[in-house]
Amino acid sequence: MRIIKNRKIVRTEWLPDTGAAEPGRAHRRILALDEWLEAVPAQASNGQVPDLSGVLLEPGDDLEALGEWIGDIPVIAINAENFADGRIYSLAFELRRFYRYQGEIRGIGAIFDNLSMMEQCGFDAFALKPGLAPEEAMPYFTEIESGYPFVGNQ
Amino acid sequence: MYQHSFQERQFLTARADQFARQVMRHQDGRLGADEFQQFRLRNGLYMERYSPMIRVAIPYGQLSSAQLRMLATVADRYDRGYGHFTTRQNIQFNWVTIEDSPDLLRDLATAGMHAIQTSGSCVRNITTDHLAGIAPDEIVDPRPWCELIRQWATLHPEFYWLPRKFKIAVSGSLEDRAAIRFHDIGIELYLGPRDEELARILAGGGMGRTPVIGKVVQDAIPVHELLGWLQAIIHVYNRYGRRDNKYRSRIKILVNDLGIEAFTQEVESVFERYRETYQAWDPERFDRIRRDFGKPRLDDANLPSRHIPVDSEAFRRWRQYNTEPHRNRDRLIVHLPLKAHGTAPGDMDSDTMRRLADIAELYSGGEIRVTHRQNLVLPWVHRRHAHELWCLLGECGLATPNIGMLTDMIACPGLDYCSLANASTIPLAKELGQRLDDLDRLQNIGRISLKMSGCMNACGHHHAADIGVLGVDKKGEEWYQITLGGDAGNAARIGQRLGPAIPRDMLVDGIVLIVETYLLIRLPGESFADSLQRTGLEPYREQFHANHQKQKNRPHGVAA
Repeated sequence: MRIIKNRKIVRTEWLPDTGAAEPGRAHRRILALDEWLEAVPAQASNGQVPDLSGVLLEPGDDLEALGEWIGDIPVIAINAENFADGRIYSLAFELRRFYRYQGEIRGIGAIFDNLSMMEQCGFDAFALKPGLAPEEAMPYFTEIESGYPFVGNQ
Repeated sequence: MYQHSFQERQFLTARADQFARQVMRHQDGRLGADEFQQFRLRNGLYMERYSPMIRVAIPYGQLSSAQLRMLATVADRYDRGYGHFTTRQNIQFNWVTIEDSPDLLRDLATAGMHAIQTSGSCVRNITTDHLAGIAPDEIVDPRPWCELIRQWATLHPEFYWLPRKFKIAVSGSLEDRAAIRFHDIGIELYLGPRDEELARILAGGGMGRTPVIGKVVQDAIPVHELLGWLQAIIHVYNRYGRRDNKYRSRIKILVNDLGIEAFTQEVESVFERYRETYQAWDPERFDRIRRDFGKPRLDDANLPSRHIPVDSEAFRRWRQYNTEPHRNRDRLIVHLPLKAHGTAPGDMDSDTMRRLADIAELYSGGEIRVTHRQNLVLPWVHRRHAHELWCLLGECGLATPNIGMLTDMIACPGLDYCSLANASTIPLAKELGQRLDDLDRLQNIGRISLKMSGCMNACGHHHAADIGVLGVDKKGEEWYQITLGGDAGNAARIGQRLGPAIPRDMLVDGIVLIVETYLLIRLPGESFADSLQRTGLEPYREQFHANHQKQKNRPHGVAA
């Protein structure tokens, strides 16, 4: 599956558990929050850092639920299909600001016009809404370059 | 005045170009209707009853002569030659097209103006005291803070998609002229015991269908923490504000549901979590902004005084009602009512805009203010020019001596433009204007605020008026709900209902009856607001009831 990561088109092996996997290709799983919560304690029971799956958050989900492993999650995907639900931007912001999360934050279902703002909130990866070609996305990251500096984002 | 930079104009142009591309993509089917709607809203474009309308921001109500001329150009080039000043220091153009809007926005950008975030669920135009920087009772000039907040909130990446619209107002004087207690966030700037600048932050105020007075979230924060607190408050609102019901999604509902204590605790914990990583304070940047807001260069010392002051009653009346003392003793604050007979409150045509731009350049340092009472102000007039200015303003129809009087009424655009309205507020305002003016001439009524909203959204701020009028729809007919005793200022109060709604043909008589009742029961020198506080609504209800009985007993077939 092709996504945009750090403004480049890349193939990812981290895929939501929705049949998006292509036959014959290796892939690793991104689980919905409740599935992820079920899987983690079992993995962690031997006291070691578990080999974590990625997690897919809905806009109303709470980051507290991810608990102590949050920094070790390789991919945190956020359902961004409803681009007008502002909670998705605050989730990314909290991840970077409150949790100092360094891993991938992927917006799933993103639209062109929001890429720049999503990036400023902390998203670094984007699986575009079906029908949108990643090749056309790059100009949208830079179409407004000289805005007022976003205080607080230095 | 704030000086927009070359980079800012570049940014505004880039933003207009972006919108032009969105319009094109929408037209050729590459941008869906839902997406396009959201993007046009964040560029100030509404689809109104008969035509698209664009709302242009006048940040904290400050206009230069050059900007006012640009508004005149826009009115001529894209509209029907006039604009409508609103209750939130914006101006609306009611007859624009979607296709022309990008060019309109490019034109505005050349004058450092824009329509960014004047609609949609995001932080709207920041409003303040229209007398900021000139009022004798000012403690802290709110304008640099408004500009800082404006820059911070413009295209704020986290807060571009809030649950609902979000309005911030700032005041820095003893008297609150910015209605901060009726805003989503109200900020009061003041000085602490060691003369340090402090801010009191209120949240959860608002008008609309559930009017609420804002509650204090922080009472005394150092001003340099202001953006950090705004960040924390709006973050909490963005995360937890309701999104399932448009009538329950303003911050006032969240504050109410959680209770102010729990809400404040949540905000404080978010603020603490930000503290380490959030660099919201850049003193150099703020100083650069603050420097722009000093006294303007006033080149009026050598202006000829062509008119010889005459001791005329009309001039005296204008001086009494439309001017007030300035913090500089040799200057005057001059109010210009946009409430002439036969026009809609807040309307101004392009010729008048240009003439006023010229007048302001000569007599007021090239500066004009827009008030939330739909009037304008010339902030830097020298006392010795008062008479000449009065003559000039009179020629433009801007010297009606009625500031603060009944005929200085506020009205939203109503059914004539707005697709939400239940009421024809503008024709009503015209009709009322005539009746009340006659009455005022005879009786010297004094200060009464009269505000009309065409629907529950309360754009006319009727909840915060001495006499509030709300248009309601009853089976397709226009009915009106009257409220009495509201106040937008320090003693913020929500008006109380006088009784059941009345039909349109009884409204003008009804309001006249209220005024006549007041004239009957007022003590010498007692204002309407004071009188109402003393008597309560009962005398007014009695008069209404008696009048109603009289009408009922009238024989059939006799016209009123």
